[in-house]
Amino acid sequence: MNLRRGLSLVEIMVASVVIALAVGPLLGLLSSSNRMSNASIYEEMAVHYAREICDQLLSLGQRESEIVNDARIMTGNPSISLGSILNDSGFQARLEEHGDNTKVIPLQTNGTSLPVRFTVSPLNKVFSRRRITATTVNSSTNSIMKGENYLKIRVQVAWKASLSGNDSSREVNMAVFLKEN
Amino acid sequence: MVRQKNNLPYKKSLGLAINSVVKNRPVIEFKGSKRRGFLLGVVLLVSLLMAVFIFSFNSIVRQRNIQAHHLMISETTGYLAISGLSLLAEKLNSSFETTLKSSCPELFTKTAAEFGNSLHINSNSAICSNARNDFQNFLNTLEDLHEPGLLGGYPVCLAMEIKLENVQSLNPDTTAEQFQMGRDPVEKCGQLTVKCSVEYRGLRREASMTRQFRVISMIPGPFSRFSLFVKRTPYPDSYNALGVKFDGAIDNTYRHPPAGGKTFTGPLVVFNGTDSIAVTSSMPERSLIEDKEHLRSRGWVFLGPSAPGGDEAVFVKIPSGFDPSAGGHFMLGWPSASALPVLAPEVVDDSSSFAPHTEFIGHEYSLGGRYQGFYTWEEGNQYGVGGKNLWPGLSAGAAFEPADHIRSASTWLYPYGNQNRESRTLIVGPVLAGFLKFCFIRGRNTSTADEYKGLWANMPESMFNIRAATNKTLESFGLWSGNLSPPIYALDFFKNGFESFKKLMPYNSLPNPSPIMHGNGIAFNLIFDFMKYQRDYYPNLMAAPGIAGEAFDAERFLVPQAEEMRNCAVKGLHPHNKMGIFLKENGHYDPNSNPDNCYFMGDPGKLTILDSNLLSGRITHTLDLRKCDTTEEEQEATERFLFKTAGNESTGINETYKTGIFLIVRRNGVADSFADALILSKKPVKLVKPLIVIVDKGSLVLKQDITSAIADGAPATLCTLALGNGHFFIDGTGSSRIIHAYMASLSPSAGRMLRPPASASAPKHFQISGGLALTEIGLYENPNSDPLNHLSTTMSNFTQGGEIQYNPRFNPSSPAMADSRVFVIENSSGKISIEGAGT
Repeated sequence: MNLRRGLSLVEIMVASVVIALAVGPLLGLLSSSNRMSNASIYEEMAVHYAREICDQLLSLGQRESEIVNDARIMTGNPSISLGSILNDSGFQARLEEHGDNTKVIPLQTNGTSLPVRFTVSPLNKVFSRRRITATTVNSSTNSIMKGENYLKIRVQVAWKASLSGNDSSREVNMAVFLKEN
Repeated sequence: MVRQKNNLPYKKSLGLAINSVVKNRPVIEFKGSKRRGFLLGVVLLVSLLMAVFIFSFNSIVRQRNIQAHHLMISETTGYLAISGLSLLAEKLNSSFETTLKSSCPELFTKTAAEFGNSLHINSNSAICSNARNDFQNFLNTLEDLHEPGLLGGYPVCLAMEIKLENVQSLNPDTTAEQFQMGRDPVEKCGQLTVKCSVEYRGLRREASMTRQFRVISMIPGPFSRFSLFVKRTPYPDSYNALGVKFDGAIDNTYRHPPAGGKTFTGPLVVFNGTDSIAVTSSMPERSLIEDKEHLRSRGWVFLGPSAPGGDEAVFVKIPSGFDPSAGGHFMLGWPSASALPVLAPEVVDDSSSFAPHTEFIGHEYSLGGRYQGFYTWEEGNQYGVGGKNLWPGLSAGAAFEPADHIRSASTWLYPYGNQNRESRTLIVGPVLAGFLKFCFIRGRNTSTADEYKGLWANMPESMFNIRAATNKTLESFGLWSGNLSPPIYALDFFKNGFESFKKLMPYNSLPNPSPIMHGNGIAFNLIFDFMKYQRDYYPNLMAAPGIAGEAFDAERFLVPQAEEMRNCAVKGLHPHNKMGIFLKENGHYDPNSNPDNCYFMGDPGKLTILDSNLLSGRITHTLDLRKCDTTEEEQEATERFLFKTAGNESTGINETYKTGIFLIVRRNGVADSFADALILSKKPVKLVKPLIVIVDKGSLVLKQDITSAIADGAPATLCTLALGNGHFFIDGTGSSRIIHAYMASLSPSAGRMLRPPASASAPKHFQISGGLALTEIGLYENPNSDPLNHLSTTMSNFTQGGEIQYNPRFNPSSPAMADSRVFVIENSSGKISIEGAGT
C-alpha cells in the first residue's frame, strides 16, 4: 500500500518536475513570441504610417509649385519653400499627436494653414514619433539632376518597444526624393 | 446516519481494493501502473502540446516578424525606386528635352512612319547612365538606410531605362481639310515607359511608369507664318487715318472723321524679323544669296480683302517722309551712296518722248521723278498736298473739301517698318499701295551757270494744247517764275505731244474702290518688292515685281504663288484665297505627292482657332472651369494652373513652369465682354517654359507685361495666346504693354484687340514681340454697319499705335522649326507599378 502510494507521489513529483522543466521555458518562449508578435505588428503599423505619408509626399511633388505658390501668397513670404513647409514645427507636432481617429492635417507655415492637407491614420500610443524631415541634397556633382533644388525627405516612425517587453526603441525609416521647382 | 452514509462508499471502495489486492493481484498491479503512466503521460502530452503550440506560435511569429521586416525593406526600396523614377520622368518632361534632342534628334525631325514604332534607351546609354549615377549620389546621402556591417552599404540604383512605344502620328490624314488646318507631320504621340531599379538589403524593386507623351510644335498654326494676320478688312480705306506731315512726322492735330474725330498719334509699325535695320547710304546691298537667306526669316503680312462680301481690295496709303535728314522717302529702296541717306531720284531717260538737252544749245538739263507719300499738314501749307497741287482734281485754297482732307490721311499701318528701320515683307492679300509720284526738270544755262528747276503739274489735254501751242516755252507750264534763256519750246520738247506730257504728270496711285477686285492701283508688293530695289533703280509700275519673276516659280518656300502674282490682273498682287506654307526647301511642294513637305495649303481667310489643328489631338493639359460660379474663381484657377509665383505677392512675378498646349474650358454662358473676360495674370509674366494657351470662349485681359529672355534678337521662349471666341483686352497701367507672345483670335464674331471700356489709364500702345493674328484691326466707315460697334475697333482703341516685331521662331518654314517641337509628358493616362526587379 505504502509503496503504491509512494509511487503516486513520485509520479506526481516527476510530473511536477517535468512540468517545471517544460513549462518555464515554454512560457518564456511564449512571452518572447508575444513580444515578437507585437514587434512585428508595430513594425507593420510603422510601415503603414510611413507609407501613407510617402504616398502623399510623392503626389505632393507634382503640385509642389502650386503649394509653394499658395504659401507665398498667403504669407507674403517669398522665401518659403516646400522644405520649410514640411519642416514646419506646427505641422510636425500635429503629425505626432496620438488619437483614435483618422486625422486631416493641413500643411502649414508659421501657423498659417495651407489648402493642402495630409490624411494620416490615428497614431497608436505605442508610437513616440511620426516625423518628416526635409533636407536639400547636394546635386552639384551631378550631370543631369542638377541646377535645381532636390529634397531628401526622410519619414521616420518610432515606437518604444518597452511596452512590448523591450526597453529599446525601434524605428522605421523611409525616404523619398522630390525636386523643388 | 450521515456518517454511515458517508463511510459506506469508503468501505465499499476499500473492500474492493482489498479484494483486488488479495484476489486479483496482477490485475490490480496492472491497473496501478497504468494510472501512474497516465498522469505522467498526460503531463508529457500536455507539455508536448504546449511546446508544439508555443513553438508553432513562435515560428509563425518569427515568420511574421521576418515578413514585417521584409515589408519594411520592400516598401523602403519601392519608394526609393519611385523617387528615382519621378526624378527621371520630371527631367524627361523638362530639361531632358535638350538631351533628347541631341541624343535622339529624329524624334523631333522625322515623321512617325520614318521614326518607327518604338525606341529603347537602355541603361547603358548616356542619358540613363548619367541619371542613374546622379540618383545614386542622392541615395548615398541616406545615412539612416545605410546597412551596417562590412558588406553593408547604401541603397543602390541598379538601372534606369526609357522606352518610347506605340509611336503614332498626330496628323496622319493628308486630306485637303487637314492641310487647311495646318498640318505638322512630325507631331506624334506614344507611350513612354520609364523604369528605375533599386536594391536595398538584398531586395530589388523596379518601379515603372507608363505615361502618354506627345511631341508637339509650339507653332500655333498657319497664321504664325505672318507677322500680322488680319482675316478681313471692313472697307478699303480702313487703315488710312493717320495725319502725317510732309517730312514724315505725325500730325497730332489731324482728326479723322470716320474714326469719330479721333487723333492718331502713332502708327502700328511691323518689323518682320529680328534684323530690321537702319539702311544707310554706306551699307552694301545684299548679294543674291544673302537676299535669299534674308527672305527666309521674314514674317509675311496678310491683310484679308475688304467689304462685307470680302471681295474688294485693301488700300494702304503710304505716308510721307520727305525730309532728307529723316532718311528718304518711306524707304522704298536703298538710299543712294550720297552724304544724305535719301533715295536718288528716278532718272527719266526717254528720248523717244522728250528731247534730250543735247538738242538745245546752251542747256544742260535732266528729267527725273520722285516717289512721295501722303501727308495732311505742312508748316505754312495748311492744305497739305493739295497746296502743292500734286493731286489731280484736288482743290487747293479755302474751298478745301473735308472729303479730300480725309482721303489725304495716310495709313495707320506700317507693314514695312519705318524710315529708320526698314523691314521687308511679302504682303499676302489684295493690298494696293497708295502713293504719289511727281516729275521734275532740273538744269542750268551752260553759259551763265544759272540754274532752273520745277515740278510738272497735271493738266487736261485742252490746257496742255494751249500751253504747248506754237512758240510757247516751258515757262508756260508754271515750272518757275521768269523766262528760260535760251528758250525751249514745248512742241520741241514733248515729242509726242500730250502723250509725252502724261508721263511727267504727277501720279497718284489712289485707286477707286471698285466692286471688281484688283481693278486699279499698284500692288503693294510691286512698290515695295520686299524692299529690295537696288540703289538708283525704280520699279516699273506696269510690270510685276521681281519676286514674281520666273526665278521664284521654283522658290515657293520663299515666295509662294509667284507665278500667280505675275499673271494677276494687277501685277504683283498675291493670291489670298489659296496659298501654301512649306516646311522644307526641297522644291517639292505639291501636297498630293509630297504631303509631309506641306504645312498649310488653303485659304487663310477661313482660318479659325477652333477649326485649326491646335485642338486636334494636340492639347496636353486641360483646365475645366465649367464648375466655377464666377469669373473670379476661374481667374484664380487659371493663374494657379499656368504659373508659379517667383518673389513675394506684391512685387513678385508669375513664371511659366510647364510646357504644353493648355486648353482652358470656361464656364457656360461666358460672353466676350470685358466683364466676363479672364485676366491671364495679375502679376507680370516671365516666360520660362514654352506654352500655348487656348481659351475656348470669352475674352482675355492682358493686364501685365509678358516677357521672355531674348536670344538672337527675339524672345527665346515661345508663348501663344489663342482665343476661340473672344477679344484681347489690354489693361493695366503704363504707357505701353509689352507682350512677348503670338496673339491670335480669329473668330468671325469676335477677334479684336481692345482697351477696357472705362479704363482711361490702360495703355494706348503695345509692343508685341511675336506676332498678331486678329479677325480685323481696321476702321469702320459707318459704325452702324459694325455689329460689334459697342466694343469699337482695334484701331480706334490704340490711337498711340503699336509695334509688332515678328519672332522668326514662329516661322514654320524656318530651318529652326524642329526647335519649336517639344516633348511633353501628360499628367493623365499614366500608371506607376512596383515589382521585384530581375537579377
